[in-house]
Amino acid sequence: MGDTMQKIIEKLMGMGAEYCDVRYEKRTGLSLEVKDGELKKAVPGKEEGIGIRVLYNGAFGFFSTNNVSDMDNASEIAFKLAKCSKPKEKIILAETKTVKDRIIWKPKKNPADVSIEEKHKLIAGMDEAMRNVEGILTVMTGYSEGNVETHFLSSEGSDIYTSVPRIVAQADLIAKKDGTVVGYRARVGGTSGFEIFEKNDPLEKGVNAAKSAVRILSAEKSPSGRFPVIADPDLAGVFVHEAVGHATEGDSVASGESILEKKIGEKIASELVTIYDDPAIENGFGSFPYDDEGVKGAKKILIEKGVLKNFILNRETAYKLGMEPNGGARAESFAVRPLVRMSNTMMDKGSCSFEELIEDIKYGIYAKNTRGGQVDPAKGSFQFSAQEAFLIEKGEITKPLKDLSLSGLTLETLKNIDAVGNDTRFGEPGFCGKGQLVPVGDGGPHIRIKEVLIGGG
Amino acid sequence: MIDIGKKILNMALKLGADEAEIFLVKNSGTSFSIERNSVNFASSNMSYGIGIRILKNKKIGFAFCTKEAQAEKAVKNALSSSKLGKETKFIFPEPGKTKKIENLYDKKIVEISPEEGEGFVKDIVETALDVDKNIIISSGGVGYSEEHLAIVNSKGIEIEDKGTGIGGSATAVLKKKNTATGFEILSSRMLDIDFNIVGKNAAGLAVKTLNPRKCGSKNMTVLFTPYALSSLLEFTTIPALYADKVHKGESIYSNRIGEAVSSEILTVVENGSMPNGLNSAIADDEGIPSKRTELIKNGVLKNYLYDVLTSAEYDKESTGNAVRSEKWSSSRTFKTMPSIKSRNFIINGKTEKIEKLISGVKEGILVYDAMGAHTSNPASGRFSINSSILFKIEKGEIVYPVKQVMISGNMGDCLKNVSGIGDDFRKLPGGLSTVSVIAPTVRVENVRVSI
Repeated sequence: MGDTMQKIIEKLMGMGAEYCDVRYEKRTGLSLEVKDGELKKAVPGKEEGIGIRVLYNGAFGFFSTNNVSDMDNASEIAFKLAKCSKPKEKIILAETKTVKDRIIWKPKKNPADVSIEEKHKLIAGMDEAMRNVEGILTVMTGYSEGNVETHFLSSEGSDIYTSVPRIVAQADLIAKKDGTVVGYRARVGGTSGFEIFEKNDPLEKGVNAAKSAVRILSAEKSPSGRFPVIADPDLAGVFVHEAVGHATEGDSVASGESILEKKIGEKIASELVTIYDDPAIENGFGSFPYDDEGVKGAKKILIEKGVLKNFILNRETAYKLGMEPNGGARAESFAVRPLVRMSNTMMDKGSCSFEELIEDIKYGIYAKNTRGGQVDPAKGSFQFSAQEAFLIEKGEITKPLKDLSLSGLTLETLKNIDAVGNDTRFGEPGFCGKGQLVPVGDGGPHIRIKEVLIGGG
Repeated sequence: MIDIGKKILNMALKLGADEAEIFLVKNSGTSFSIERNSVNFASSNMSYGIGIRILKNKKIGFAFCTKEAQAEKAVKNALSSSKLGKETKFIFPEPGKTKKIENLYDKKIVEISPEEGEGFVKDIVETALDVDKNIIISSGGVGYSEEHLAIVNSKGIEIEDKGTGIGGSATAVLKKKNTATGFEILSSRMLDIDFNIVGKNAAGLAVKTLNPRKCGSKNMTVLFTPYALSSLLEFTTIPALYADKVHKGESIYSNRIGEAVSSEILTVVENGSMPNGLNSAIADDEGIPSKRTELIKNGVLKNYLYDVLTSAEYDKESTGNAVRSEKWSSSRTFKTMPSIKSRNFIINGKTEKIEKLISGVKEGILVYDAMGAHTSNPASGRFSINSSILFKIEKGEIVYPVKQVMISGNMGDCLKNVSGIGDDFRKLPGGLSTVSVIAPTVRVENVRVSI
């Protein structure tokens, strides 16, 4: 395939392109799904394909196909699209090192060496254990493994081969009592092999999720209004990802959509807040060795002690903003272009114990984990729903609450973080959607926010 | 394409499948994305693949490949993965009578040149700037595609179909003292879209919401525009009507056929055979002829949505709602087995003029966006959304734009509290799935709004 790719590059440069790159991917995977004791799906899959990106006269054109044996017109189509695309400002790519490298992230326990029966047993076991918890109506468990080999070639001479494994086991369950229905999700995963399940047992996580769901069944409705909130590491991670991370993405900054535009060096958060994005975290769900423009994936400190320090950048937005590319270009697959994306976005730990966080709260909320969220980067508003929540009264957790969602303004909320826990961990692995779906990680410590708008059901 | 399908089908039967079905799909699409008022990226994609579903000893197996040459390996994979499963009542469907549906394929879309495509984007941006020269179209774009598919099975189904689609969308940002956003999206199967409307409406909405005022926290009348309503339906009511979930008791509509589940002025229809429907086709993704199904009639629950697998399990008839798409994805794929999905979900009933709908409101809000709708709980119907593009209605008139509010409740209750259905029907693509919703503005009483 390398020769075909080199020829495409030569052809495009011969046509007068300023720059081009070619990404070839070979993706193999297997996914299994069990619902209420029955295997519903066992799909092995394999796909290869190529994505060609060309810059001509300050404009990008892109072509992709999963039929790599028929690439005759590929260069022409990509080039023609570049000619038709007319950005007001010409696109210029910031300089980056030319790299020749070969990185293989080898799983310790290769899923290929584990029988499909054992994988089935893993999720069937989760399914059974969870359904044994009284009050659980249905359970759906899933297992998915994948390996992506990427070969990246650029007209600047970069030649990078990477092989990255990714694995995940998850459970979606529904608990029901009388007319009340509660959904809950638990997930374990990372850029690793089957060994991840030895450290982080999905069965135990699933059973805990089932117990939580049953507890929520008889929980009271959450109050609505503004309250102090303690967010657990999962929820803190989602806040960091949704509210802060998206606003630091170079494309939304460069397009004038982000509330953080022109704020580098400003204090935008409480000084207790340090946030970074790091694709180099070992086994992180959002980890990668090189981004999809051939830039090394390295840690970027976004906010340090409350001061905005950096954005997540690809080469195009790095040039526009006069900054250095830092490995923030990711594509869902060969079929689509790389966009500016997060990897593993984390908040640094502070110094408070959980007791210290909670003791001064007269009436507030302890919110855990999330079912997802959304942000409006231009207005800096966010909304996400907690998966589980408790009422805090006079410094103590008193009772479980139901269907709680949090919303607010990012900048206000960042300043309202008035205490940060001394614990920190990864939240659950996630998938971030921005037109394309990519695996991401996030996490942090327990944090206390002075005031958040809480909406119940 | 059908010949390749037949060849693989015969191979599957020869290799040991008791029954088999081959699904082939070829997609090609082109899109132009907008950033800061100009085309920032133009791309084109081609994809071809084959999904193979087999039955062996009453067990289902599935695998996919992207080349005819890999089909033998895929069939073997499907056969061996079938061993893990349980016996099912599923059998492949017999051929049914399909009928032609108007306006699903437009040769003019296939022939759009990249220059014309870029011209559509220009239309969007220029009309937006005509509304206000400070508008920035921050995201959006134009995309068009062609899809060619074939389904063959060992019961004799041989279906070949092709379709086209085109769409334009824009998010407009206006920064003056405040920041306001507006959006618009238009989709069709035919080249009949006026891209000027996309730019004009997106910009118009941003201009109109520039100086919002605060709104108090209380229960009030909420008018959900088609945009907000379709987002909510996509993640609450629609999945609650999927028969596999219903029969497991995972839905607020389980065991409620014949009961009143909504306001009696409301009628809900699913129709995979609607002319120019975004998900219309002569058949669904396992070859069942597309049809119209009444789900709620004058408030009474009539039916659920079925595919062949679920209809076999519960002794019902498929409603032609087998769709091959992955979770969170809005396109069809050969990589998954079919599962139940709504195709064209239509909200209808006793409609009235939109002006009349508004004039009947003492105090309420008119809501355009539903941020966070995808975090709803389809099993309970509960939702909590954020809206920042909305207007206050007082004494029957739209009086001013309103600052961000949170709207929460239960979609099941909301449908019961529908007090009016407008006539401003829109056909919208799904946000994070293949479903398309066709709906007007709907007025709901007594909804919780908080700030």
